[in-house]
Order: sequence, then C-alpha cells, then structure tokens
Amino acid sequence: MKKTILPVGPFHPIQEEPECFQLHLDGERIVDMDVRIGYNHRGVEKLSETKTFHQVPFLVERVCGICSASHPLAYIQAVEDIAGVRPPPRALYLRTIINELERVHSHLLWVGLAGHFIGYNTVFMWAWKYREPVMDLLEEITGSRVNYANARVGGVARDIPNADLAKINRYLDVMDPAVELFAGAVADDPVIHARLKGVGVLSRRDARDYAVVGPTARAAGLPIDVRRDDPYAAYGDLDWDVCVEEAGDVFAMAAVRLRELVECSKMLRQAVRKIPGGPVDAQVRSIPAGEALGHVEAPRGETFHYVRSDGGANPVRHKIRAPSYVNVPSFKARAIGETISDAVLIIASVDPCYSCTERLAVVRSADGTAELTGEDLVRLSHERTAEIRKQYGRTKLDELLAKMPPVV
Amino acid sequence: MNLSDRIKQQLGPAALEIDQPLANRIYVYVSADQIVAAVRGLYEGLGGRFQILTGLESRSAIELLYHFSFDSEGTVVTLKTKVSTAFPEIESISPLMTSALWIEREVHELLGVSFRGHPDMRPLLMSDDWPEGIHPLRRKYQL
Repeated sequence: MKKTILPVGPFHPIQEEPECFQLHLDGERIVDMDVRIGYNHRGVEKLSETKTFHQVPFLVERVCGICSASHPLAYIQAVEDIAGVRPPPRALYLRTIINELERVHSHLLWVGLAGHFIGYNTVFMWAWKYREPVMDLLEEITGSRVNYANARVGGVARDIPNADLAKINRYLDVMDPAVELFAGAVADDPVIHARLKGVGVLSRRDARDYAVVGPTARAAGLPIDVRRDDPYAAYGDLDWDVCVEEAGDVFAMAAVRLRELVECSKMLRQAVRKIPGGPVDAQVRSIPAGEALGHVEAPRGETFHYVRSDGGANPVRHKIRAPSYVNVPSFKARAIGETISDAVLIIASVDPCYSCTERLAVVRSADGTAELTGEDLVRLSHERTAEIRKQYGRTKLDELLAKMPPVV
Repeated sequence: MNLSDRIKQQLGPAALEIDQPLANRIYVYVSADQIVAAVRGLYEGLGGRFQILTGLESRSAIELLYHFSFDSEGTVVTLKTKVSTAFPEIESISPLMTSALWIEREVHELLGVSFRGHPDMRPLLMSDDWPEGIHPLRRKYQL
C-alpha cells in the first residue's frame, strides 16, 4: 500500500494563521493525519503573569479574534470566584448580550465559510451579508467589531443604554426570517445532503475520548453546554434549548449551528426585555490569595481558564484552554477513511479558530508528483459538489440564492 | 448521594482530602503515584469529562491539576497533585483518553514534567530549534 504524505509548510503569504496539517493518503483515501501547531504561540499565559488582574482581560481577548468575548469572561469569572464577588445583575445581562451577539456573528461566519468550501459562493455572500450588521451593532454599542473590552473583573466597563440595546431587536427582525428561510432550504436540499450527510462522522465514543466540546460535541449526541450545565452571566434566567443532533456528521454540525442561531435570537430578545437597571460594576480593587476556574460556552465550545493568585497584583498562574484545543485533534477520528475531496469540509466543520484548510497540501504517491495546495483541495471539494449538482438540477436552495438581492 | 460523596466512595483512600469551596467546585488532593487510579475513578468510574491539565511551578513543587467537568451536575472537579521540582515525573493518563495527548506534551515542554508512558513526546508549541531543557513556565531560567 503506497502512502502519500501531505506536508504543508505553515507560512504562506495569503494565510492569516499558520499551522500544518499532514494528511497521509492511500490513493484518494485519508489513512492518517497529524497536526502541527505552535507557529502562532505568543506565550499569553506567561504574559498574563506580568499584567495586573484588571489588565489581563485586554490581553486575553486577543487570544482569539472571533471568540474574543469568551476568553475574558471565563478569566473574569475565575477571578470573581477568588475574590468572592458577584457582579450586579445588569452587568450579568450585558455580558450575556455581548456573548450571544458574538455567537451570532461567529456562526454566520462559519455558515459562509462552509458554503464557500462546498462550492456555493452565494451562500458565503449571503451569510456575510447578514453578519455585517451584527459587527456594525457591536461596534456601535461597544466601540469595536471585535475585542470589545466590555467585561471587567466585578462587572462591565461601560453601561449600554437601553435605547441602544433596542437596536438588537431591529437586527433580529431582519436576521430571523432570513435564517429560517435559509435553514429550511438547506435542510431538504439533495445536493447538501449528498455532500454533507455521512461525511466526517464523529462517533459518540470518539467524541468522549477526544473530549470535544461545543457544536462539535452536540452534533455527535453529547448534550453538553456550559450555559445550561453550569449557568453563568444571566443564562440561568433565560428560556432556551440546547441544540443536539445524533449523526455526528458534517450535516449535523451545520444543523446545530443553524438551530443555535434561532436560540441566540430567543435569548437576545429575552435579555433585552428583562435586563434590570442598576449599577454595572462591583468596583473590585484587589484580589486576595486563592485559586479558581471559570468556563463559558464560546461559539466553538467550552473555553476554560484557571487562575491562581497569591494576593499580589498579578496572577501567578493563568491557564487557558480554548475549545479548538480539544476539537481540532478529533479531526483524526473523523477524517480517516474519507476522501481528500471531503478533507476541507471535515476540518472546517469543527469551526477551528484559524483558517487551517488552506494549510493543506497533498503530494500524490504513485506518480510521486503533482503537489496540491489548500486551494486545490478547495477546488476538489467544489468539483465534487458540481458532480452532484448535475444529478439534481435546480433545487430550492438555488431558487432561494437566486432571489437574494445583489450584495453591494 | 452527592457528587463529593460519590468521589470519596469511588476513589477510596486515594483521595487524601476533598475541598468544596463552592457548590460547583470540588478539589481532590491525591498523591502523584495514585494519579492514574484517581483519573480512572473520575473518568471511567464516574463519567466525568476531561477538560485540561494545568501545570504550575510553586515554591516547593510542581503542581499538576487535572480538571474534570461533571456536566449534568454543573460541577468541576479538580484532582490536585504534586511532583518534585528536581525530578518532575508522573504516569501519563493518555492510555485512558486520547484527549490527554496534546496537553501532556505541552506541560512537558513548558514545565519539564516527564509523563511516563506517553507515546509521542514531541514538542507541541515550541519551535524545532527551541533549546532542550529550557522550560518557559518555570520561574527561573536563562536563555
């Protein structure tokens, strides 16, 4: 059995984030894989020890550009436990609102990327068209599209007037019907089914063994969600459902995220309606000695922070575990036995916190030549979709996408 | 039986001490030579979900904290153990769970802890030319 190794040099001018996937192929089938990471290792945990407790959130919100509200919140919750502080209720609601808005824009981004990788660039345009107003909204209410610097130890840094919060409802009035239409079209689309169903299946057993979290776990039938299991912020006050699917395939992962957009909307509307008045900061000045941990449900799954204090100005230890750390390795269990035309989709389906799929390159064995890049793999995925589309002709999804007004 | 009692029952004498500073946070002190038994107890015996391993150097030892979430109880249980700073070695838990593979590599390269029985101790984060024996999360080191 001839094996092919795909090395992908981690640095490339068109990539934002470097990492290196190595896929071992036998013909078209993936037989093994390895991931090399660390190219972007910045030593954030160590840097944290040089910051005061109030400075750390500014540092850790930059761990990830798209989960940037989740990291500081997990850290802050840990420190608040050390200090024995409970933030005022209005602050808890404001945190919930920002974190759910983040989930909305993150999931819409993913829907767009998934569409692109399958070969529906119109889906990409559609999803990002509906994503842009959320980014504008976040910028209006926090001052930034990402890295909001809203949460702080003891509460939030700035209050947001209720009149501004009401804008969220106006956005949801536009997003909700669009998502419903789209999800409906995707749910029955024969091409999407052929492309995503049964692909990249993560068994429940493997889901547990890899300790995956978030939509990756919920799509494989593991009913875990920190917002429900260990409620934080204002989640305990809200009425919503955890979205679980059983199949563990890429289709299930898409379904979970689309369903979660509906739940985000429910939660946001309730939060905007129920948010109490009052102060937004418990004015925490110093942190006593102690240790604690905080975890939140980031868009990709559980983000976990552990903090130890010795009563000084800085944390003496700050451990950070992002959800992608446990989700990305599960690619190994999901990709083995699949074909390279599906590799891109399988990687993208865990919604990794970097655009890793472009990092793939394949070198064919037998002829020992044709080096394929990540772009080639995306192209292979598109070709697969094109083949399938020929069988089905125009579908409801095509109709919907054709009706989409032009994107300026 | 509450979770704390179930842990006591499952781990038996391996659990040297159990602290519950908050309703949803339990800390169990175990000695390093009991770590596999303790992890097996929480993971296989009680069905906990492995979250991550935190390593840190404190004044007299290197502490290793194994965090497990009991999702249906909304509680995080942390196993706390220590290894000596001079000879930091402990049994790998990776035979029990694939999810431990990466983090043991990370704790090895950042703190210098050896995980006996780990199948693949390549660096995870540090560059290929990072000098041997320099562990960035240790308090004192010279480049």
